Amino acid sequence: MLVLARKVGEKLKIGDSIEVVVVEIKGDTVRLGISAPRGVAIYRQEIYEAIQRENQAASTVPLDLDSTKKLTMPLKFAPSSTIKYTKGPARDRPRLNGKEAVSKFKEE
Amino acid sequence: MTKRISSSRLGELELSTDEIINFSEGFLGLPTWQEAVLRQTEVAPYLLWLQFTHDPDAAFLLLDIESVLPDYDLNLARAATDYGPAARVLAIVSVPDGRLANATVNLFAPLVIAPTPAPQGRQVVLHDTAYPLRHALFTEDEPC
Repeated sequence: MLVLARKVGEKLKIGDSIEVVVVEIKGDTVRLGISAPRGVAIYRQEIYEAIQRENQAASTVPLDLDSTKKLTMPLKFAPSSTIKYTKGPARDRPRLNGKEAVSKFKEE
Repeated sequence: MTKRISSSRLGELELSTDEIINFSEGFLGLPTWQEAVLRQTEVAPYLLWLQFTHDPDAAFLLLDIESVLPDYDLNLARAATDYGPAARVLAIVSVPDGRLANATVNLFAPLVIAPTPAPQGRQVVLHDTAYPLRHALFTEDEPC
């Protein structure tokens, strides 16, 4: 692995089209700014892995779903007021993995 | 032009080639899932099948978010693409243990599908939002 030292405000180039800048260093957290072409997807590692797992779990919907009893009264939609989102710094957000997140929203 | 494919869930399908949606990037964890068509399910009007053309078993169950979760910000998902305001936003449904009552929807990484010029789509990630990866779709009534 290539390891390079950079100061706040200094940049890295990855190939011709990707630029990474160190925006801020605070305690043990480094904030990075990344410019990349639209086709290049950027993920936090743990989110990348969580989405991978979720996609793979969703890829095994049972074959006989359509023959199961059609949805009727006992099932109600979870109220949409349980879904909220916030836009803001990552440190202010709840964790985004699974049941904890879902149950947290239900409590709010 | 038409094309025939078979689907483990829907049987033999005859598609028009111009309805095939191209997911050129595939999906995280499923990179070969790239060409698919949308079909209604018989379960409920807000649930759709996204049947991929390369493998009869390859399909996602999708939720038409707009029709059941009106508070969801569809434009936030559209803005992660350059598909424009006509694009559909759908969420992948997981069915743990095969029980639809336990279904969860991925509201954090929805699919955005542009109908024109040639149908194309991608899964986007709503960074810095608190939309959950597994939102329980249904609540069961408390017993009386």
